[in-house]
Amino acid sequence: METSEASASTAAVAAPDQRDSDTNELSGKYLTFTLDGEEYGVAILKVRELIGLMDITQVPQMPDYVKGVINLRGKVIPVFDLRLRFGLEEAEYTDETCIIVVDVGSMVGIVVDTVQEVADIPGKDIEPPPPLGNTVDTTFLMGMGKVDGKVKILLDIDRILSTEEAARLSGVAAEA
Amino acid sequence: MSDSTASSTVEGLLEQLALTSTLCDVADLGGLAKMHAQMGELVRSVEDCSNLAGVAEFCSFGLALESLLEGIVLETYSELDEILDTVRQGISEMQSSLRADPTSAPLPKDGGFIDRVLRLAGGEPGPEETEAPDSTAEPAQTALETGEVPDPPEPEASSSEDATPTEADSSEPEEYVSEPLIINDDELEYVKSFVTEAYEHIESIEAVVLELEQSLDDEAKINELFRPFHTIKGMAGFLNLQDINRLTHRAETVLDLARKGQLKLTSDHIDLVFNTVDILKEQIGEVEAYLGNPTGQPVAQPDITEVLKQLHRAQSSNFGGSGAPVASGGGSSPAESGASEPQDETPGSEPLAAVEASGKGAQSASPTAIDKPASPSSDGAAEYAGPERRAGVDRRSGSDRRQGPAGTGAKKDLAVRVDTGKLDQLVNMVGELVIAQALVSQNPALAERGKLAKDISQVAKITREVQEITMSMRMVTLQQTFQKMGRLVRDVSRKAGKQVAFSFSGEETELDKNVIDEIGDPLMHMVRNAVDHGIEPPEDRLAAGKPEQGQVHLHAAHQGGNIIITISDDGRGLDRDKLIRKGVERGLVAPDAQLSESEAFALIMQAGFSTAEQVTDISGRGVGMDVVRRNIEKLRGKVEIASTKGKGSQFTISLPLTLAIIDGMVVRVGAERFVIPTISIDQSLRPEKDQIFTVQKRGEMLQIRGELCPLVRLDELFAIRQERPAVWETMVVVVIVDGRRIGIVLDDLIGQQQIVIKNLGQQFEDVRGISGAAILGDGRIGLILDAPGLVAVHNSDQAA
Repeated sequence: METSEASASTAAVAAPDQRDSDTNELSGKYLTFTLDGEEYGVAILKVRELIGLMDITQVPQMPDYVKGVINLRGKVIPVFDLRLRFGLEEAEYTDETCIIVVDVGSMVGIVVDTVQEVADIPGKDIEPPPPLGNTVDTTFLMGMGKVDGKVKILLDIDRILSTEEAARLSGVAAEA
Repeated sequence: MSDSTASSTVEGLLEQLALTSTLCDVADLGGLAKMHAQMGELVRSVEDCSNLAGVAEFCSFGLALESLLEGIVLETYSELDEILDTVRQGISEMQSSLRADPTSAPLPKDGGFIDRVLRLAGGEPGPEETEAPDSTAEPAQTALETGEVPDPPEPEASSSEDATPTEADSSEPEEYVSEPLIINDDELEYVKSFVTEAYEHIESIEAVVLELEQSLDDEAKINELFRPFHTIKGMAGFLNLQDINRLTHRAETVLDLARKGQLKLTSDHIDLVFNTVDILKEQIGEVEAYLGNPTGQPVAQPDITEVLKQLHRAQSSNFGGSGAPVASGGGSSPAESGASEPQDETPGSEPLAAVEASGKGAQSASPTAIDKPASPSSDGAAEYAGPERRAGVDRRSGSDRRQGPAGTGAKKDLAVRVDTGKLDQLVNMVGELVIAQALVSQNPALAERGKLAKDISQVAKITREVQEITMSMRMVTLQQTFQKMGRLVRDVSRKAGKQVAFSFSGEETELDKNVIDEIGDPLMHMVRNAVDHGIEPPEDRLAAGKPEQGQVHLHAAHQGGNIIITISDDGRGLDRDKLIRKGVERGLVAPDAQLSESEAFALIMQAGFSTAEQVTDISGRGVGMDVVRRNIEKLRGKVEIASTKGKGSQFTISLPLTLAIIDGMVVRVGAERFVIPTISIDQSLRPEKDQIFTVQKRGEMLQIRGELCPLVRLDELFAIRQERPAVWETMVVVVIVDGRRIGIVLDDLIGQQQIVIKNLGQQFEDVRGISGAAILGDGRIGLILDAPGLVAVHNSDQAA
């Protein structure tokens, strides 16, 4: 979807219909949260639950953004730190730090700074991710949502947590 | 079986049959299928009554009724209602006959009626009729057309010119035209059960044919072999799986001749049977694949023309040029209906062919001699050895009937088919129950409440029992796994030009189903190796003073909380020095390393190692044994090798009995806790200062009873903390990996407990040293250590 949007935006900035139909698919409810001052959103349909920070058991030989595993009512699920995943600075966990449990085929937890609200974002308020050149990896951006004058970065959570796989595999291979 | 029980079973079956027949009509596929099955059961159960009179004639009659039912389903008759009525009449006549005379088989008294039924059901002649002149002449001239019976299937019959020539042509095998196989959505369920049952029958076939190969004249075995083909044929016919039906029908025809003594089986026949089975497996495999993705497109079908020809040729005594001449091909004696018919199923088989042939509308059936039931050959010789039939074919599948030794009669296996998905779910939930219950029992609030604590401990007891029962539900014996190896040994030894006798024991040992699924491949590989590399060619063996035939033996037993499977052979054994040389050559071993015998043997399980002079297409590519080892370690088991050069080798696999729950030792390193499976632990100790030695100030070693064992520091390995306490202030747990003792350095042992293993998930699959996670009593997670993985990481770290 990203490629089509990218080409749509570069090729036809003057084709609002095209853009609208692309981003209309993205309209819906998003759970918004913050990471290092930036605001993000994840499709609510993917969110299973929100839990407060709990003890995370480290697993060795994993990249740093894989914090470890937690016990979620008898299920052992992995937990990722999105800050580290995005290459942001790691922060101390505070009272507001939460874990959002998402369903990307299997359950995975992501650590975020704060959780804000569930925002209903209509398609017309969602813009395709802008071309930011090669410095920023935008493959996991679904779009930019405008809510109350602020811009939320809408994440394709499946892609983030699975591009992870590829990165990890190459990472582990390098270590081995 | 006493008279009264015999007739009461038969009576009961007849009643059921009558009931079903009343309730169903010609459009009721399910009801007809049920009737067909019940009729079959009835025939079998009468067969088992050795003391009833007239069993043979009854069985022909019963089988004829079966064919009529098949015909109704396949709509090969035009007056279906009349045929169904005929069947119903047959049933009620059987009932009155039984009431009148319980000491003989319930054959209807009215001979004319019997004839009519037989003719209705009549189909193409058996191979003995091939010389009959009219067989090739006209298409589809079944006895039905002799006017005896309301409606023969002439519409289809006359249009068969375009189709294929008759079956059982004298010299030319019939050219069978395969039609596209379409499976309708509403048939999916039936086809699914067919596939499952067919596979079971195939396993049965393979086991029996291996035994038959050793004694080609064993009639009981030939009968045993005939049965599953017949059953598959019937089921396939019902479901319109025409190619499968045709293939099994041909095979059944050959076997039928053999069991009637008209054909002497040779090893070529055995080979052909194996070949047929392989193709059958392919056919069923395609159907199975289709079931996984029912698109409505035709199902792929392997080409069967060649094997059909061969099967046809196999009917003659000089098939393969090595058969002993036999009376097949002679004209069969015309119908002395009922006279001396020990082999009763033939009428059933032929008619189906005719029925399905005309059902396709494209085939002709040769005229029947109503002599179908006719069977030459002495009655006495070919008598059904009923009680011995099932000897050795004991399966735990629910669909088989177990025929006990003479005197106990037939009893059904009481078993229920359960979807394994449901079983897995149950096991998971029980696992969670165990954890939750453990959490509750460890709650400090219980300490003050005596009554509550007692009740909770009662719950604990019950939970444990539920757990045990659930685990046992997934236990399956190794019998089928071992039996499958028989075929493998045969094939591999043939290819390699060796003579190998295969035997096994302890096959009644039970394993968790998941484990059985996983060890199938490793076992096969090891057996293959034993035959391919272990056993020497016959000349070498003789030269070495050994018997020409090598032995490969599989044994399974429970030991402690594990199951031990050994594969032993009396072949050439492993050559320690050769292995070491190869290891050095491949860079797996340092040139001056001192390897113990078990370490040398363990080399063959390393990746990239193979001493086979040439890579045969069977094994020897050097990827086999290490995959085997990894698979077994994935199951938290281990492989040990013992061998004596020139004498033989023994591979021992040990596996924990249950996948999900193990006994583990909870240990602490820093603030983290880990679990070490108790089975891996050799010993644990608090070392004294004077037991510790260092090498280059980095490699630490512990001396225990004269043996030096390297130490692995978990805190370092897993980057848990920076400071390293002196070893003599720690606990060391010693594990054995690849024959060597390794010590794992920890802070503390916390305690032993039963833990439920939780998989970590795909992301963590490649983490070495950790095999899963456990939820400990306080809800926190303890990672489960995997000793071999730990050692591997440690070694690579050290090397770095």
